[in-house]
Amino acid sequence: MKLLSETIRLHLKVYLYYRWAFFISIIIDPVMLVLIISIFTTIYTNGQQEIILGYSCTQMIWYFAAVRFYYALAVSYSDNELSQDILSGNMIVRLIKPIHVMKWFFSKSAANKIFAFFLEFLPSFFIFLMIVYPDFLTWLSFIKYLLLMIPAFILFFLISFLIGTTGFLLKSISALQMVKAFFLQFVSGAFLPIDFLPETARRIIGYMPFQYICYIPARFLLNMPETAGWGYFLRVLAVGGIWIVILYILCRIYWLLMIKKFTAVGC
Amino acid sequence: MEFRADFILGVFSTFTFSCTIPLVQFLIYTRTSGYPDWSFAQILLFSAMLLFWSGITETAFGEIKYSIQDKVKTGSFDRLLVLPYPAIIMILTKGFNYRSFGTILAGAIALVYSILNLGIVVQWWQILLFFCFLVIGLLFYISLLILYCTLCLAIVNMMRLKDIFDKLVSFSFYPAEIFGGVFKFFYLIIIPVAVWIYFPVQILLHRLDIYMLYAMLISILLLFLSLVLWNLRIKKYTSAGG
Repeated sequence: MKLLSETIRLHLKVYLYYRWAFFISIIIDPVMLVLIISIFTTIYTNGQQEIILGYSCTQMIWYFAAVRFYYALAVSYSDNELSQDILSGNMIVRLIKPIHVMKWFFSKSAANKIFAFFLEFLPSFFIFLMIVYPDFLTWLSFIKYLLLMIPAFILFFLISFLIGTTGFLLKSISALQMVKAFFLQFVSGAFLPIDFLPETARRIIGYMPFQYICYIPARFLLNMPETAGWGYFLRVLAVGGIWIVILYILCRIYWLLMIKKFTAVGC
Repeated sequence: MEFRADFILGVFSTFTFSCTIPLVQFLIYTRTSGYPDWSFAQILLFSAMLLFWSGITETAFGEIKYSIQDKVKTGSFDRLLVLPYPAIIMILTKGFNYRSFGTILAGAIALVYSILNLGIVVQWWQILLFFCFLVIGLLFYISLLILYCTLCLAIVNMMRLKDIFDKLVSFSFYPAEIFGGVFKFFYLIIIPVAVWIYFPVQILLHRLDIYMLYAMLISILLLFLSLVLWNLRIKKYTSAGG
């Protein structure tokens, strides 16, 4: 744990050097919110509907605000970094360090998310509050949402690490990354709420871990009816935890299999 | 073809990824009351044009957003500065992404199908205007890419810059009728993303607008502005990484 916390501190210092990069989101995210407001205000007005698929207009807008937060709080780029290290030959240096590669990239992602929480999420959240006030939001739903974003981040990291490890076999995984990005965005609800998908697709996605990354935390933020008590929250945490354990074991096994195929490319 | 599995997967994934936005449009349209002044067949035409346009931009410039950040972070961007050609030309010409060619084909087929489905009779001036807007659209897209590269030089390490660029471009994935007031003005004229998909579709639907002329002029102006900003940034560039 001490090693992990020290590497997180190391990465935080690196990100502190590039702190201005995080401020771009404060400008861009509200602009994106304007697009979402335009689209759904027009759709709700055009159809003269107050509720579509269980979402009010404000909730639908805030769903996509939650998608912006998902990019800040959960999305990890470890697959890309791992692949680049393999292609460039830097992996040799990573392997001889006294910290497992997975721990290294996890600490880097965690540092990025800690930074993003203070410099991307919080400012964007308060700006969104001023643009579209969420009358449904309560302190409890907000805290539950933040707590659920922690396993969401871990899940996303493990999936990215799995994809990145495939770089030992394929070397270049840019196409695989695209497939992952497309697939994850669809089944996690980042493109559209999963409620928009056909019944069969929703049922299949229900058996997968991806909805716990974006869709389900977003429903807690929106204070949807099923999120009211503690029972559903604890159930989501438990299922998310089980998926984390499964994916962690998969990552470790996959790493042991793939590392045997490693040959240094370039130095 | 050095990475064959990546190539095969890339062709498939790029095509599938490009179909996402038309699919999202379809889901929104069928699960809600749709967009005002747009019938389902017209939205299909819009989506086909979106697919066609995405294929063109991804094929011609798809690799730039991925490669420029890596070049700046690792310091290999410096090599472009010592070449006998402008660095920005080298960056733009190295953006070719073979995987997206399938998307152009799919988009073209969908476009032709949508036009036939709507029963539109396309005149010679419409074809001329359509290709004119394709060229203007490419110039405007290039100006945004130049601005993107300029930001990469300034910020160096920002993993979300590509996401932000993609989200800004996504304004063009919806018709102008979605927006109101000032935002519609921005969409049509100030940052005329309408030149990519909306105006070409309006031309095919025989709906001409004076805003088209303004958008063409602004697009060319933005290209010059982006080059000025790039040159200013290059003068202040200090190597990063290595």
